[in-house]
Amino acid sequence: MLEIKNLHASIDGKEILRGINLTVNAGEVHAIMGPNGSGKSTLSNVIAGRDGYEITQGTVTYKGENLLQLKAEERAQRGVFLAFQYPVEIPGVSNIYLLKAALNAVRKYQGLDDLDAIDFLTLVRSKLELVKMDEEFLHRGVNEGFSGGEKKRNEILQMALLEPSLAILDETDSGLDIDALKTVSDGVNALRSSDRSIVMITHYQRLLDYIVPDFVHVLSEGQIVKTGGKELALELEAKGYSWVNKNA
Amino acid sequence: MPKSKRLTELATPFASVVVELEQETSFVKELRGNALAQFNSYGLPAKKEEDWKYTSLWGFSQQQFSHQAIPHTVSQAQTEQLALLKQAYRVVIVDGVFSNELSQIDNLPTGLTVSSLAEGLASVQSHLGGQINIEKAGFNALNTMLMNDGVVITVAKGINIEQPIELLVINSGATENLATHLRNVIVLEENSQVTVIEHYVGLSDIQYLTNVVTEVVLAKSAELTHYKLQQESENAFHIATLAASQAAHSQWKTNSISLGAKLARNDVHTQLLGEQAHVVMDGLYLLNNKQHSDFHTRIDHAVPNTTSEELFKGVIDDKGHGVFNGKVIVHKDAQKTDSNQQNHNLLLSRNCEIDSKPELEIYADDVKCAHGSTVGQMNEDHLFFLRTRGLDEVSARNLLTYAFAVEVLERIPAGDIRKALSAVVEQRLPQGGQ
Amino acid sequence: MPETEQAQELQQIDDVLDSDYKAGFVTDIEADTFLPGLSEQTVRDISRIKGEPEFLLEWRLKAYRHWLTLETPKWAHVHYPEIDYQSISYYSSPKQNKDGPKSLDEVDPELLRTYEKLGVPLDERARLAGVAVDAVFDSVSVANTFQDKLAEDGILFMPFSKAVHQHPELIKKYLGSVVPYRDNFYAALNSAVFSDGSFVYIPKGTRCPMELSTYFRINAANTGQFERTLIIADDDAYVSYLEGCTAPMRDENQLHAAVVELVAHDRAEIKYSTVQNWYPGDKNGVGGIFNFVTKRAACRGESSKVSWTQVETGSAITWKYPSIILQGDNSVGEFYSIAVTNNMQQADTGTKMIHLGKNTSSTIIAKGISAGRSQNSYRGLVRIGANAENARNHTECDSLLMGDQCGAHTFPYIEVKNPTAQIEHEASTSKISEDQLFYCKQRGLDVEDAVSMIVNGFCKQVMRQLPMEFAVEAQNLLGLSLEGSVG
Repeated sequence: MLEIKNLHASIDGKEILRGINLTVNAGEVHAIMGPNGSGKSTLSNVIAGRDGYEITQGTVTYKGENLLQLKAEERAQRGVFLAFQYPVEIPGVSNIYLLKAALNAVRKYQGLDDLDAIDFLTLVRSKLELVKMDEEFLHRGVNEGFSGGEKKRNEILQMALLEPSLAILDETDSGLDIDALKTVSDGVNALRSSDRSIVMITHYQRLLDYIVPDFVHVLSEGQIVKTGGKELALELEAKGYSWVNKNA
Repeated sequence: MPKSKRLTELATPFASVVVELEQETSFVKELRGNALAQFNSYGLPAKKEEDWKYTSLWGFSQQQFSHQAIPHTVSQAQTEQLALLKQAYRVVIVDGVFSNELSQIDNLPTGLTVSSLAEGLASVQSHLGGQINIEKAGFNALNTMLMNDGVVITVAKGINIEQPIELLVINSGATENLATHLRNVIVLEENSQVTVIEHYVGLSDIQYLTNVVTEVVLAKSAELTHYKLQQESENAFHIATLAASQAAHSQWKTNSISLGAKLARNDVHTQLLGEQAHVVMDGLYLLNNKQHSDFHTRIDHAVPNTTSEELFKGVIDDKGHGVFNGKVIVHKDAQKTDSNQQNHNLLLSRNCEIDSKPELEIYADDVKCAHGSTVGQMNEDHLFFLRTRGLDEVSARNLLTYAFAVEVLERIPAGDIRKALSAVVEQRLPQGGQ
Repeated sequence: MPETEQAQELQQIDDVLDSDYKAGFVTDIEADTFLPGLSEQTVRDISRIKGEPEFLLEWRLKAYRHWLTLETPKWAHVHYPEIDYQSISYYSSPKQNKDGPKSLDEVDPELLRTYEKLGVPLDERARLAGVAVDAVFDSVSVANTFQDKLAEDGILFMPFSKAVHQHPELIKKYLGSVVPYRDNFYAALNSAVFSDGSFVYIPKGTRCPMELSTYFRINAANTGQFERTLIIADDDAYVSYLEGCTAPMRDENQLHAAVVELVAHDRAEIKYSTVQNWYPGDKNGVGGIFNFVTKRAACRGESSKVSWTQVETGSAITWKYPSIILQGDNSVGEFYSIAVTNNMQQADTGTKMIHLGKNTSSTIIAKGISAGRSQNSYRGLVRIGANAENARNHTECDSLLMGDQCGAHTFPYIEVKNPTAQIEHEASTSKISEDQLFYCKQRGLDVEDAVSMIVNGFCKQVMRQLPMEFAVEAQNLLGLSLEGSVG
């Protein structure tokens, strides 16, 4: 699915990623953990294709294709989904409009016709249940005036609708209380499947109690310094990030 | 465009006055000459000029002003009583003349100089006239032509002056229709800090003119905290320009409280010329009887990454007429400008008037600019609530009026100055409105 | 622009848009056009060719003489070369039956095709849309649909020049009663030389059963268009009126100086919507329409209501302040505006709300979008007279900047002489953030679609005021106007 080799990336001349190697196979769930400033968000932005990062070395291959030469929207159309840490507000643009435009953009790439209004609404309603969102949310401005929990649920709703092959969840647990965390996790777990890979980026182990990963990687100073199973997260929680740095 | 002929002709008596400072340099003589030429051709601004749309100088232009003050003494005790602050370096100007006897500037700390215009001019000559435009407003030209005194304050690099400086400008009331043209220059070198209060007081109810220009120059990282308290006599004309230029990382906080005068016109202007420069420009005008107050403010964001905050509030009673015109200009390439301007007005009587004109001119795209303006009356529900709690109507109205005005005072750091200004504002509250 | 037929059916919101000014073609038609030049004789000639009554000629001449004493207004935030009023032709009319067409069969097919191409079908298809159309081509009205049907309800909807003959008493009573010829430079010029326009009268208690619409088209070169629209809604009447404008692409600037007067009597309501898409000039500012328009409404009756909605995407220069005089007690004024400027366009537009009656209220929502090297200004006045007890105004002005070469400016005037007024004015300025763009791109949208979506979101408050048919056209126009401004 995704293969990252010796990836170096910098922003404003400052190197943030210093040789990332990571392979994610179809159906796997990976967690990438690390302290603040270790490069977690940079990694997700680089995969999603945000402007402003300079790739100085390395490759990112997605389904056999060189991901780095694609524009952000082309990556999205091919099934790369980023659930944002801080979803932006777009005043006046209704949620349902964005969902429809996004879904049709993906469908267009897949050579499918636009969904008509009835089919679309039926589809969206089925996905709303997954994240326990009220239909009223569809008609509000994108993330406009949403609480932290609502914004994150909205991200998962979009993911459920767009059915990506590779989903990157960037600090999806941040700012959530325990009930919201459970709702969001249930939503993500329902979307786990053998042809979909999930990369979770998180600071805390807490999320991993709800979405259990196959692999845990520790990111430190722009490199993956340790890889293990889900028990690595517990060990990390107990001993702190300084433990990894010492052992690296 | 030549201004209304009428006002030009009526303004000519000013042109015959000759003023010269002691040991006046040719530089100053030239400034005066240019200003005279400007004034002769443009005269006083007429109402059809956009900047004077709501303020008529017709009444002003009918006056014959005198430039000869009848000598009059003000006692030390009197100045003590008039001064806003007890603990301050104090400069006293009486009827347009710097008073050495009354001023308390003998023991200045190292790095601080405070002197009369004539005395201090040499050290700041390069800045004189640098902040103002004599082409546009007739009064700046008039001031440049006729400036006869004022104060020069300089603070040397890296010096932080703890004790504030109060400039107490007194009109004694001895001379009918006296015109004074004051020029103050405040120069802060890099990394220096000081607090200056301009304080204008009239002791009688006669008619006179105070025409003052204060020029402020802030070097890199300098911080000036500035207050202006205007308590001129109820028949006075108070015309003032306060203009600053700010280098990188400098901070200017200025707060003008306008309480007196029959006609007060204040132009407050700053140019943010260096990155990270910041200005807080506040003001409060309380008007009653037939008072007219006109604030014209302008903030030029000339370079990227500068910020401004502006809050002006007005309380207008009787036949008072308030004018607020606030301009914020974001020049080309001044990206990341962050600016917020607010003007709020409370109308208390049937016959008062407010004209508010907040303006934004923006020539860069990555900016955050907002402004707001409101006009309204006292909230009747609030009033009723206070009366159910036992306050009589007059007290309740006073309390709510003060509550409206106090937001401006609360932006002043807690301490003696805020206390003193708050007391002055409280005293001045209208008795009951309606 | 190719001359081939192309379907101009209303497009879906998310259609792909092409970047040309679609209305830029020229209709090849024979026309009677005056030689350029303006004099008292020109004014007399216009009046004579229209066979006007004496009172109207007198009024025109007074306006002309007054105009001669005026100077071009300079206060707006726009710059353009002096206009040579002697180089303009003041009258151009397609050759046709002297008394005007009796029915659509008599209208030159070339003209019908022109309106068809512009998406304004004048034949029976119009019936389906439920919109009655008056089509003004250069100086004259060339077609006017549904007149008979409307007449059954006593509604008058006809070319101005026809109304002058059929209802001179109404013209005499109302012409210049809202915008006197002395009002300003362009209003005086229009009063002297106006050629045609639309006239609407809705009788007492009548709700106009369909949208009325005038479609203005400048075709001839070197002509000015000076139309005059007068709409009167009598007591308890209601009408919704739409106005659309286009012109061919030409290298010369062309002048459009219209006057629109609205009168709302007791409890009457007039909704006036404009989609202004005059040719804006090319990328370098060559050509384009100078659009200097005086639009004003009088809410004369108690509880009357007028709302102006405008989407301004065209014209090289726009100078336009649709205003409302709130005379009647409890009257209501609304102004909803979207002004888009791109390339070298300049717009100085806004409104005036003059509160005179008691309990009057007004709302102003103005959205400005600047791109390219354009300058976009909001200029507005809210005036509360001394006797306007309990007046209310709420104003929001928001600017969206696209690119660092354009300007967005806000010049609101607030004048209050009554202490019971409650006035709120807010303005803000922003740009489309990188975060918003990346968010949309991550969901698979390309830049143009993302921008168009965000811009439409920004304009939503105003868009929803437009009648449905217009809203779709307006949304498409927004996308077109901003094409190429991001990337």
